[in-house]
Amino acid sequence: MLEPSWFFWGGVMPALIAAAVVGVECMIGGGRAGATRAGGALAVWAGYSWGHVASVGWPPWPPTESTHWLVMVLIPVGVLIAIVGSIPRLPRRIAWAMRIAVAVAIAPALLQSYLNYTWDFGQSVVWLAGLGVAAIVLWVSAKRALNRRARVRFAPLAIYGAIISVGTGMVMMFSGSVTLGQLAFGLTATLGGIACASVLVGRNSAVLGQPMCVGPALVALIGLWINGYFYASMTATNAVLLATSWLAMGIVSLPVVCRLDGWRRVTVQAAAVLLPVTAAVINAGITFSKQVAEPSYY
Amino acid sequence: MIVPTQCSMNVFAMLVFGVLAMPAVARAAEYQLDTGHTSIVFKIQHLGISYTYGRIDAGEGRFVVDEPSHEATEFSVTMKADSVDTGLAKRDEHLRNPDFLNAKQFPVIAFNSTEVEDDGGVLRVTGELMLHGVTRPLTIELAKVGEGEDPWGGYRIGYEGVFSFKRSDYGMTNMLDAVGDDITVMISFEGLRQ
Repeated sequence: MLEPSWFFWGGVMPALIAAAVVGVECMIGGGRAGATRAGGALAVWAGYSWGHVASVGWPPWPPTESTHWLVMVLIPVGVLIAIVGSIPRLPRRIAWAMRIAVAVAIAPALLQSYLNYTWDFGQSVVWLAGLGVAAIVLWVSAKRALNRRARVRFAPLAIYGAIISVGTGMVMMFSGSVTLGQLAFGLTATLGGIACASVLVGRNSAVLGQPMCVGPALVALIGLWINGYFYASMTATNAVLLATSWLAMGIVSLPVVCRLDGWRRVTVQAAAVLLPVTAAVINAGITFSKQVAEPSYY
Repeated sequence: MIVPTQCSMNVFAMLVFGVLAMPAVARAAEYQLDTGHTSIVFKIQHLGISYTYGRIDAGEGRFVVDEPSHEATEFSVTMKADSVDTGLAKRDEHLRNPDFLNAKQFPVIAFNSTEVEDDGGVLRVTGELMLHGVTRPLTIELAKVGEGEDPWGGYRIGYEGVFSFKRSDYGMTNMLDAVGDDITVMISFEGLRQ
């Protein structure tokens, strides 16, 4: 049901825009890993925002839907704290305080209708606390994937993010939400563009990790998962599987994996990421195939 | 001899005009929507070939009728977005999700009148329709079906009307090729005088 023109405007253009942002910054910084600081974060914002507009149009201000809050408020804040957090000599405590604040704010920003109409006070506290803790754990996991003590020199986080995002898009589509699927594919294209630009323009393999894109990309993914579960028909199992695939990136910080040599470690990490996301897509696909056997309503 | 002062004249005038004005206020009767006798049916094109019909439940509503003139002066009604029913559960589930009504995020559809004009027996009710988180002006034409006492001692008035709007105006832009942009709504309702 996607229009052919969407594949260019919503699927290709976010990749080109994100790649351009990273490419320009890499060139300005001479391709040094340290130069690609704001680029990864800004690229997520620019690519995802373009994908949103191409898929569902301009979001109004003030935001009315949760997907509007994601693109207008949460992702820009995620970008801002990624940039502020990268300031040299900024105490780690402050950087983490900002990340935790954003992680905890995602659920209440997106679930206003549940807070207003559905949940009582106790339910609100339990859900918001649970989702806040989960978001913090996911953020910590991504940071552990970049931990120097884990001797990580090759951390293709943008690629992993793109894989998880394309899995999210497929699960959303199979779960009956074209809108959320389109937004996830826009994020996939964005992260793919960042990864490609990092390989082509960056001279240091560490650039491939694009550490700066991790925070905003995670905010976008959590936002899409929350939308998919609470407002569309994504099952809890699939939501957990997709979150597990992100969590699995941090497997490289486990001592047993740390002891492996470079490529083996990356292989284990890639397998750990791919398995849950593949399981989620297959799971949603099986349910979808059963449904399409019924009379079509289109 | 008592000489009336300006102050006492004002008090007298307020009392006289206040008493005269009171019956007019009292004659405006409020009617509560009887949701059991309210039908909201809509139709929308499928692939430009045919129309699919559906219905939606009314939530709460009220209207005000000026008793001497029997002219309605206010209308307001809410509808439950998650009650959309087109006779196919899978399609209804899709209509409730973020591709269309986004019913969990926007559970209430509401219409509140701002002006009611009697145009030769047809009421032109201008107001605001809040749908999918977007509020836009809308005019509905209503015709009175009937009024009278019911067997239980209450007094009822009923109206019906048809109106149209574009779903894209309310931010529902998905699948416009397959599912039409124009939605026609047929509404019939009655209210019980309070």
